[in-house]
Amino acid sequence: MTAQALPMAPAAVARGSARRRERNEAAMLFYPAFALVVAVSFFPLFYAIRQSLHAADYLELGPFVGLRNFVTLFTEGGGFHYLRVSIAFVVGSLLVTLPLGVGLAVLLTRPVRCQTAFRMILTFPWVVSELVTGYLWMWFFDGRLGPLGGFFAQLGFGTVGILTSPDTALGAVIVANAWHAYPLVMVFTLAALQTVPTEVREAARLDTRSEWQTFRYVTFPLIRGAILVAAVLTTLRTFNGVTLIVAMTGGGPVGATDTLGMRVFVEAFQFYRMEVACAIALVIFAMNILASILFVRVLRGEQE
Amino acid sequence: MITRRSAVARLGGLAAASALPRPAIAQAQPIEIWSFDTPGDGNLVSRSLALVVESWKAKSPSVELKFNSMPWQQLSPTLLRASRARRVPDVVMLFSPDMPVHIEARTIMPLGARVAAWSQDKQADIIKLKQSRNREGVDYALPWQVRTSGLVYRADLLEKAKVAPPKTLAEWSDAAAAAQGGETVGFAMGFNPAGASISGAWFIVTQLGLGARVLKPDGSADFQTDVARQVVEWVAAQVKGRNPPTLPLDVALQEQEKQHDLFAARRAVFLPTSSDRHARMVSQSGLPFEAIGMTAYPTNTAGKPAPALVQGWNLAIPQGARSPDLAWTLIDHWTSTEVQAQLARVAGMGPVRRSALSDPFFAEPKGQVIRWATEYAAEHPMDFDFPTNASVLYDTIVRMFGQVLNGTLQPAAALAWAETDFNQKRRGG
Repeated sequence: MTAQALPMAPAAVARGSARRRERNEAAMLFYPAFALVVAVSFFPLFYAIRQSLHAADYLELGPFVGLRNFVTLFTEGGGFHYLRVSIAFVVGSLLVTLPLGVGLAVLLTRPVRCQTAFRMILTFPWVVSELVTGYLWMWFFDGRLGPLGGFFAQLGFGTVGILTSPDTALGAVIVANAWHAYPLVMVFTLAALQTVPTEVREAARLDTRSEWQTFRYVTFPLIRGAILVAAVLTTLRTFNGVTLIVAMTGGGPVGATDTLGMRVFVEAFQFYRMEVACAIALVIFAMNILASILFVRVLRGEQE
Repeated sequence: MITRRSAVARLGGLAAASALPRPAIAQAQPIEIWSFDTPGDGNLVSRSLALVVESWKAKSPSVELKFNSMPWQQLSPTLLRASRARRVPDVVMLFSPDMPVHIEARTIMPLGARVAAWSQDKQADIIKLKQSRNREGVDYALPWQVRTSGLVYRADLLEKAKVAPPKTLAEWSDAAAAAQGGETVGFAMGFNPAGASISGAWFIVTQLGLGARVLKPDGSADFQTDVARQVVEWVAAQVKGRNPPTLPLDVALQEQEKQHDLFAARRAVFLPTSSDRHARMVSQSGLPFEAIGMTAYPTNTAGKPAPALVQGWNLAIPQGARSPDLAWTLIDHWTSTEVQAQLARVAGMGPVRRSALSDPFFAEPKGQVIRWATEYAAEHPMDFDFPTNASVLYDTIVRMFGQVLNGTLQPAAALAWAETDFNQKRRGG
């Protein structure tokens, strides 16, 4: 028996054309956005992967060299040093930024006068550009012409070159980065705190002995997800960040603040070694993926 | 109402009109210039550009100059990218250390034939920068302002300490020790990768002045020499060998803009820099003009200063420029004696034409440093082939100094490290 096409009922035809229209509309919304994402995110990524596997003549692609650029980076090019400094920069920034952002968010939920004004003031560093932040903190830490230098001199410590000592330069850059980054953590935490039901907090207050215990055992588990998301964003931003270091130290003194991000900038735009810059950029990309997976796993583990 | 037929008719009319010959004035396209500033009355560069626009308008009123400004560090990499995308301007400003990159990458046109069309006198009159020519001596760009490296010093403090401006390295360190005091340090000299060009260049010209060659004929490093070690040890002695040090460690590891800030704040006696910064140091420090002098970098022989490193902003025509002939007319105008004298007078720019020095401005005290710089450059030219990318060389040098001053490496070991580092990173290495 052969199947025969049966005439469709008018209602079915109308439903079919409505579905097609819906699909077309969805496609019209999706594909331009997808093309844009491919153009601005995936195309540069593929370009970087291709370039990292080739030699380069300025911006022209040279012959295929396999993994030579990566091997050279980690054997002769100081790759492990840049990676170590980058990890120290990220971990140090997280150690300062997260407690600061969460602590300020908790304080801002207290009923205090001028709460809105405080919220605005504390969000201020977020709207200052990174370059301005870098120059501000560079001036602040200047051992001879800055206020901190003057303060130390008045205390009798002589000239303290915070940004020119390999022991303290990275710490100073971490402080500046944390100042610029804590509002993000603060805003995320503040938003999460608004979702904790008042009854839960009040019940916890009755059951526990101190405010710290209320926060530790009741509030924190409820807002942990938001803090983790803020931590992921801060990690990615810090790993990729260049502007602050360019403005404050340029990677010095003696390589103390030479991060992977800084090297991408120097290799690509000062030395014109695009092949090396792309190899380093891919290492940063891999580190970002690793950090993201780690945070997602932590988040999932907690939810389970 | 626009019908399909009327639209087609209008398009046809437009196409026909575009095919007709147009009057000359309408054909003149604007000249697009990529610069690090725009004409205006703000800083010295914008005032200079305004002067050029004004004089150009008087000469060619039908051709507009269209400036496209970007941060100076971005001009060179942007041209490389734009050249690949074939979207280049008519004229681009390039700083001389960036020139070899563009000559090698073939992003700019050779100007040799155009320069050769000038009269012999006109050719001999202009200062040409070695970095703006290829190895065969073909010009790829012409400078529109030049600056000469040298030592800016506090003449008032030297006079108070009863010492003369130094001619040798030994005199220099003694003068710094004698004139410093209180919060004022001897040297504002920094070895930081954030700003490596001045101290890197100082290390090179001082070695050349002492008879070393710095780079081998094949372009690889020749750092492990007695002269190089002597210069590194001399710097280390300023940091560690004196009490109080003439170059404190925190100053020695600061970037070069901070050195200028220190000098402008009257906290340093000597500042290695370039002649264009002299006037700025005078105005920023608030000191009288006579209180700040400038001299050549010392060597070991009193009558033989280090050679003059002349650098400057060049005008080049990118490959693929729409109007190269018009662009050349602009470059010719911009580098003319009249415009150069005007730029020096109004904005303190170092002229690229020696004939401009006959302007009465150069007999005034304000013009004397520029005159000195131009004459010093003519008397002590620097014979050195910079590598394709001077940034790599400067970066290696300051990082080498950083390790010595920080105590990580001894001078000889640091120079060996620098030689390997540079040879690995240099193009063609």
